Amino acid sequence: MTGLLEENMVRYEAQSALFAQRPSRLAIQAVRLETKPRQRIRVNVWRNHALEPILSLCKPFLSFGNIHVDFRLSDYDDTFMFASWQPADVELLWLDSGRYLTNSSIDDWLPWIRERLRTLRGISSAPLILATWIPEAIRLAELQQICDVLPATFLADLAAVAAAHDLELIDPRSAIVAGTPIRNAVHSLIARKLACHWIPAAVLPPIKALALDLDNTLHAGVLGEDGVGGVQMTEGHRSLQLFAKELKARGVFLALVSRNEPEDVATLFEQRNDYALKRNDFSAEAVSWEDKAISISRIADALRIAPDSVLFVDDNPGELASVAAQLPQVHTVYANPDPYLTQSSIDHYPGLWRWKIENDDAKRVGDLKAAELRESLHKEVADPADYFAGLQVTLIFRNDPLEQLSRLADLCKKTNQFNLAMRRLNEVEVAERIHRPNGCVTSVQLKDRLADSGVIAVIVAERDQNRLVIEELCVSCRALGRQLEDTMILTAIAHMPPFVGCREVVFRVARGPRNQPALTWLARLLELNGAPQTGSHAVSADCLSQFAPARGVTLQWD
Amino acid sequence: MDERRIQENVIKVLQIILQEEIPNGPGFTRRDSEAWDSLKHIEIMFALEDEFAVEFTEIELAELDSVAKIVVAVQAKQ
Repeated sequence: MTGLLEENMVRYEAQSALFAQRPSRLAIQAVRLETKPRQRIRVNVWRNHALEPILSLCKPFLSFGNIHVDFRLSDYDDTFMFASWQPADVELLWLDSGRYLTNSSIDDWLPWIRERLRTLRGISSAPLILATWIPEAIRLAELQQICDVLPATFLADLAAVAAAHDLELIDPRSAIVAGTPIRNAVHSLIARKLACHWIPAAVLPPIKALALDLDNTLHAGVLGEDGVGGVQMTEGHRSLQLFAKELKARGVFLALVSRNEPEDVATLFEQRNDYALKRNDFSAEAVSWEDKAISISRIADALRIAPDSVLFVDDNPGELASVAAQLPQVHTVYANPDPYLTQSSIDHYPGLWRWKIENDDAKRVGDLKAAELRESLHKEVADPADYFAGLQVTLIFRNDPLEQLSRLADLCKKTNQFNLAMRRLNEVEVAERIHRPNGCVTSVQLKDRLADSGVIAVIVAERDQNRLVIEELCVSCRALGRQLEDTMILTAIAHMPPFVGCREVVFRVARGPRNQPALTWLARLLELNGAPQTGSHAVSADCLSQFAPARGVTLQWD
Repeated sequence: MDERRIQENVIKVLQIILQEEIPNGPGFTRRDSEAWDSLKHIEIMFALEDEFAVEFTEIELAELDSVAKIVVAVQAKQ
């Protein structure tokens, strides 16, 4: 424990260098973190200017997030031929647009870059990040649109990073000595964006919950000693609370983990009108004197998420180390006495920032609240049909919904429990299956009178002679436990166009660390005694044709 | 900042970027370190600009290859 505490202390001390408003190159390079990476990522870098002065700054940020990245740098190539391409997890186009736009117009350049992106998209199914800038900011929307129409293609606007800190992006001196026209002062900011936001958001599973300590984290002072009126809401703590509310609006659960008397905490939130966070902003609470690792486990259960998607923030390094020792998969950030630094540390934690916020992400928090009401209603109503009808439960099925690509890929990436084949298909791969002549991708949306849960399931299938092969099947944990699995899955499969005329349906199965719910569901369907093994498992097509959906549930096809 | 402080800070920058001891202080030059290659040189120059809040000319960026030269250049800009 002492070793772990010391190891973590070095990490928490590094936060002040790494997450300062404008981190200095020297302070970043002085950070020495030896961490065991949770994740290894290969990045192909296609470039026409130097990335090395920025890469040297990325490493401490990556180490902080326990990530190891192998950057495979191409030669300098203004034509972006993508020669010697090798498979990677991310494709990064590191592009100095000035090398083209000094001699040609942006009207000529935009179609060229569109064609180059399409070419790379055709070669690689990995997420693609175009990191560049254009002098005519007014044309940025066109470049963004070019990226938006390609699956898993993202625009990283380097000029915006500089502008956010009132800096000019370009310094001609740098072009001569460093091989990149990007100003030295912006290097550390871009390194941080690359290591903490852009690359993790392209490939890592997201952080789904922020578990916050109260004393000296959300306010200055100790509630039990200073009292309800004595703890201070500084400007910095208010900013941190507003930031937490913003995360909640983006679909991140907030949880309160505090060693205090529950009555004191209740009184605090009732009486302190200056708190930006209200009690009902927290989707789960653990206010008690018990071990915080136990509290966080309970919170993860209550939120129906795995502990590895929780970021825990506390001002006590001992508490953080204790949680890290008992739940090594939980992410931790130290709540610094300077709340702005805490805010920046959270903001830059890999996996929290997203390229796009889906409507369905924002629905997650409201849906959990509705789940409690559903449970109490369930206890009151004996007949499930009455329960479904009373709640006006509706399942909406869509075949090959290209407009939901990003959400479907998110489901494949994020779903751990009800994920049958664990294929982790990305946007490009889902799109490719939609376009296959014998393929079908079906999404299922769930709503009732309490909440719209959004798209909560994806099924990817392909016809192979007289069989329909289910390549991937994911159901969000927010839809589990509602006795709707059979209705949503079997109905969806039976209404896929390639199902017509099939004699059997084959489910691809991979046994993962946490996908027991999916395996249990299939075992019941197959009438097996234990969980199905990794491989393929067939059921008669008649079994699906004759399936009767749960009574009381409204089924719609869009 | 006096010459001695500038020199101490220059040596600190070199130690951090090159990740090695700087044994002969002001007499230390690029030739004394295998780690001081062209990429590290850029990092050193940029870190020095940050540290002393100065901006070197293109010629200085190319030619400042010893502790002594750097100290003189920084002093001249203060």
